[in-house]
Amino acid sequence: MIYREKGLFLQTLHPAATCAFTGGVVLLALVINHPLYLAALLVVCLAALAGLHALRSGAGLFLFCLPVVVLLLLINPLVAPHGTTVLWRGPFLPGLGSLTVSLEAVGFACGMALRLLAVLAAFLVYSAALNPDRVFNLFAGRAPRAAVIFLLALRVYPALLRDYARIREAQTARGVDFDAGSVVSRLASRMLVARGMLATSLERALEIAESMYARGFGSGPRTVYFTESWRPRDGLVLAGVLVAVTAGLLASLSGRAVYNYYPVLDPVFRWEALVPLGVLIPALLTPALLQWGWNRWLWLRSKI
Amino acid sequence: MALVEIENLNYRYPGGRGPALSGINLRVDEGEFLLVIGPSGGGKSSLGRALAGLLPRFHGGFFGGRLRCAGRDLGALQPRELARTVGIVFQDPEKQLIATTVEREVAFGLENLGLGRAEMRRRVAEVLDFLGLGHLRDSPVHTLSGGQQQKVCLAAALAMRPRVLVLDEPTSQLDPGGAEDFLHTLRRLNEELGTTIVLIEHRLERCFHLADRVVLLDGGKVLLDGPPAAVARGAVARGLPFVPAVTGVFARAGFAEPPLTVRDGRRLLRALESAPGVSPGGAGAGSGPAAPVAAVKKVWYVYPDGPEALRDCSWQVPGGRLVAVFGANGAGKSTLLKHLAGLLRPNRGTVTVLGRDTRAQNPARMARRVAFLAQNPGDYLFGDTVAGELKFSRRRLGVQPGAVEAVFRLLGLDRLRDANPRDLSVGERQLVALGALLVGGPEILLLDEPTRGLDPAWKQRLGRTLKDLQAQGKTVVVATHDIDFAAEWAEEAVVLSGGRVAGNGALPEVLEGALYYNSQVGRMFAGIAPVYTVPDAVRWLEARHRAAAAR
Repeated sequence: MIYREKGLFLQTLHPAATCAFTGGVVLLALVINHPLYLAALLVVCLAALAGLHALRSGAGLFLFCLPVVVLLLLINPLVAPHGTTVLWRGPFLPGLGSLTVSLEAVGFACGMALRLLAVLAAFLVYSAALNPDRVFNLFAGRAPRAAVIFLLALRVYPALLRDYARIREAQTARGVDFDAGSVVSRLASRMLVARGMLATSLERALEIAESMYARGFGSGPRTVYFTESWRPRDGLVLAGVLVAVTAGLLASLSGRAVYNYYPVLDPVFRWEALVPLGVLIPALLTPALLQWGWNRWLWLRSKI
Repeated sequence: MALVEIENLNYRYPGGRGPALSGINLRVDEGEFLLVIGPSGGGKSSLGRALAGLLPRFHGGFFGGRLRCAGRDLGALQPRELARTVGIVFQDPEKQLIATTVEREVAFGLENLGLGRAEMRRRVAEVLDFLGLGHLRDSPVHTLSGGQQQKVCLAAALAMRPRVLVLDEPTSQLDPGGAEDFLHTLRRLNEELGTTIVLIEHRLERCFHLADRVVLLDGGKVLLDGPPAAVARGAVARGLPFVPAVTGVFARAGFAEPPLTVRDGRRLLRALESAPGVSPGGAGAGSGPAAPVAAVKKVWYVYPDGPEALRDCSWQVPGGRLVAVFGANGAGKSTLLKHLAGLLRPNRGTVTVLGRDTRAQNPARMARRVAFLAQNPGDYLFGDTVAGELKFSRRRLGVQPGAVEAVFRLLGLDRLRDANPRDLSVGERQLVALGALLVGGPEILLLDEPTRGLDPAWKQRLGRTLKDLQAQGKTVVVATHDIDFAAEWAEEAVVLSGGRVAGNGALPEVLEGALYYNSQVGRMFAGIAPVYTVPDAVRWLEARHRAAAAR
């Protein structure tokens, strides 16, 4: 998903606040394995995406990842021999042994799928909320060359997508059928597009480099044009993230947010797990709630 | 006073077969507007790069002679000083933009110069306001039109306050409206701020009159150097096509002081109007209705996440004719051609090509009968040699080996047989891509903006090639902004507007009385005579000139 300026409140957050939010969600999704927590992380990201009017464009990427999720759900139960509640016992396969599908393995696959979706949703929030130029600016003072490379990579990506569509169309007009023939011939057809893209990219890279050189890039120490201001809204989001991460990590360390999939599934709803969740969800909903309030109350706008 | 002095400049690119610049001696005065013209590969861009200090610093190669700006040797300047001294704007804005928003793009060069924040803010605001880009300050650059993007590139160069501004074919990728607006901005810069401008251009009709002086380069050497009218006369005397249509018409008809603009040309024509003359024949003289080879019927098409490109569009393509498709950007020209090539399928309505509905056909299989050449010929080329490209097409399209040799003969590509297509000029690439499509022996040829980036000589060659193909019985459809090219070579025209056909018929009928969709010559002759092409105009003028002299 490519960043689009929509003039939304969530797009005005300080890059550090946005990075803290997405980083916090990813950290919690990687540390905690409790399905309720993972589902909660997914929900707060979806709420932020709704605030960014990016649910529809994000849905496309979710669909793109669906095969991976389906594979996870299909393969893990078949290859994980753990779990006591056997749902289906299959034939003996050489190398894999006898196939069994257990409820616990299915539950574990669901948990991992939730984790994958939560991380993906966090990245979607990042893409929809943060102008790449502002990220560039954040690092421009300290690592100017790396920042420019980062910026160029961001600019080149949509250009590559356009190149692909154009070159594929041109090759079709030359009689190349990308959907006909064996897998090998299809791959060969796509290699043609790749060759064209490589040549076009190299030409573009040379021209961009020439333009940068002509504009004095690399001629000495750079200064920075933009500065980011830290506002109350950024403080609120950061505070929410800190509270959520602290609650999540404490819950994980104390075992409240640890979920055992094997040998039998733990009960999902346990009071000791729900209490930290009651802190984590509202804290991580801060950006979405602020966006909601921003749209309704002028008073709030003047304060944050 | 000379701001730029070039003495005996010689340059050869690394691995270059010959010198790109040879014995150039040139002066550019402060505040001067210098126009550099000439054929592709004639050394124009190399001269621009040399002026910007990019030769040999960025490209390497063999450099000889002296190049001074404001009394200082460009080669001795530090990169930062060089960027402050000469600014350059290249052809394609897409390949110059670094940042994602307008303001950041303009600030990029200033950050490189290490300026303070207050100074940067002042310069950015000033240049954005002067160029009328203030309202686009926060706009993402990819959402801008080509003309606006090129103006952002100009703003980025201007913000660095260079002594000299070099522009290397800055309008070659723009539509006529964008190009006109951009050149008007250059005129303002020159007149209101006194900026010294070196403009390298192919679209002579739009900028010839802006220049104080014109330099014609060919083979890396200065062929002509002087005021625009004198250079036009010199070019015509040498049989070179590098003059605007209006000026060329009068210079060829023997006028000592050829006009540079349509307005001045009309004044002269009015004076000659009463003299007896001849009726023009004209390229547009049709020869009765032709049986259609393709038909678009009530077609609607919407791009995913995009606008409605075709709206209830109906048109029949006359067989065996050379047809021009006119229309502003977004009018649906490319979309119409892609529908005829089977690359796009209509959302509603039908497209029938050579008797078959395109929805029932595989576009790759259609390629043998219908050839589509898109705007960027580079997208077709990936082989190591020109011969390899054509042989690849032959294998893909399943035709006899003799087809490749026939295309080599038809297009005169023999000398490029072993050349790498990526090393060729824009015109040569265009011809090779066309050749790759012609190998299949298509009955219909669809070309999208084929004259983009071509110099006048290459346009003539392309026009003749298309006429040859038409003479073989092929139908040629050309979507173009280049009305002068269409007026000279096409017989019929269709005008698209908002995805619909707004006009259709023989070319003279379409051009008659048209203000915007008319050739330079047609505009000059509007209300005087139905003349649209340079040859017709020259005949008209010569006849009246003779008659006036006889009286």
